[in-house]
Amino acid sequence: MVGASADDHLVPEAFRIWGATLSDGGVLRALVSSDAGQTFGRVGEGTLLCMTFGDPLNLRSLQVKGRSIGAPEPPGPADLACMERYEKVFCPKSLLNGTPPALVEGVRPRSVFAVSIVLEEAYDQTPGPTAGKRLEEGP
Amino acid sequence: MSSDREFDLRSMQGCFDGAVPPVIATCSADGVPHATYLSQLTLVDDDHVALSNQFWSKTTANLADNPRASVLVTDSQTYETYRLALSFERRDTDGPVFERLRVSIDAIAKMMGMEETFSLRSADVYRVLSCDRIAGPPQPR
Repeated sequence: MVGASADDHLVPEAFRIWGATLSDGGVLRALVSSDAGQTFGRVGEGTLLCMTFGDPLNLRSLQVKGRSIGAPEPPGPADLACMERYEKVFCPKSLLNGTPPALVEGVRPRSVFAVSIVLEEAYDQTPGPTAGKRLEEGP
Repeated sequence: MSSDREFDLRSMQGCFDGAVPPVIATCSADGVPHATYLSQLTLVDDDHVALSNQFWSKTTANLADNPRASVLVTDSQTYETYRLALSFERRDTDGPVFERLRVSIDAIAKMMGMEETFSLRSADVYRVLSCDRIAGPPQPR
């Protein structure tokens, strides 16, 4: 899982995400790698962010865009549990496509901060002819 | 290599072998960020890299208005991850950089059974503005 922010000069910053939860109200809480210093310093109420979620086995991907509801927060117990759940799903899948465990460990963030966004748009990001197609809201 | 550069792309060969898919982020003229995976990054010279462009309609549109990009790339040999700040310069649809990427992309596509989907459109060439190591095994002090 990855994402991006941009500063006032339209300079983007890519970052890794290590776990996310979606509430019934359409608020996505993502755990962003702490090396994303520009994003950490910039995120506040109304900041635009994008996040892309992909399956490492079949490459099916989804990108969402939305605005943050406030400043970054330190991860709480529920966030740490979310990270553990993510690892339990992601790591075995990565092994199946031949990714060495040491590589997964190498890209795993050593620390994270939490960012919550209200979802505004979603796009199919799966490689192929439908990539970039906007997804409509369900009933 | 110029004396004021603080990075040495040639020492990062494992970033350019296509083993670990990099991530690219761009931003539209109205400030909307976009992030997607790409197949491969290749070294052009001491200051430039080229990225495989296969199916990036939004990334391409963003770069037409705003040349800045941010890339996360992981070295397949050392497992270190770097964040590159880039500025888009040109789009090659033939020539040595394009051909080098095309051969590599074709091999990746064949391995994944996605020959049609992974057809290379262009080799997009960027100037590297900065390169920061952001993750990886602990470094010796």
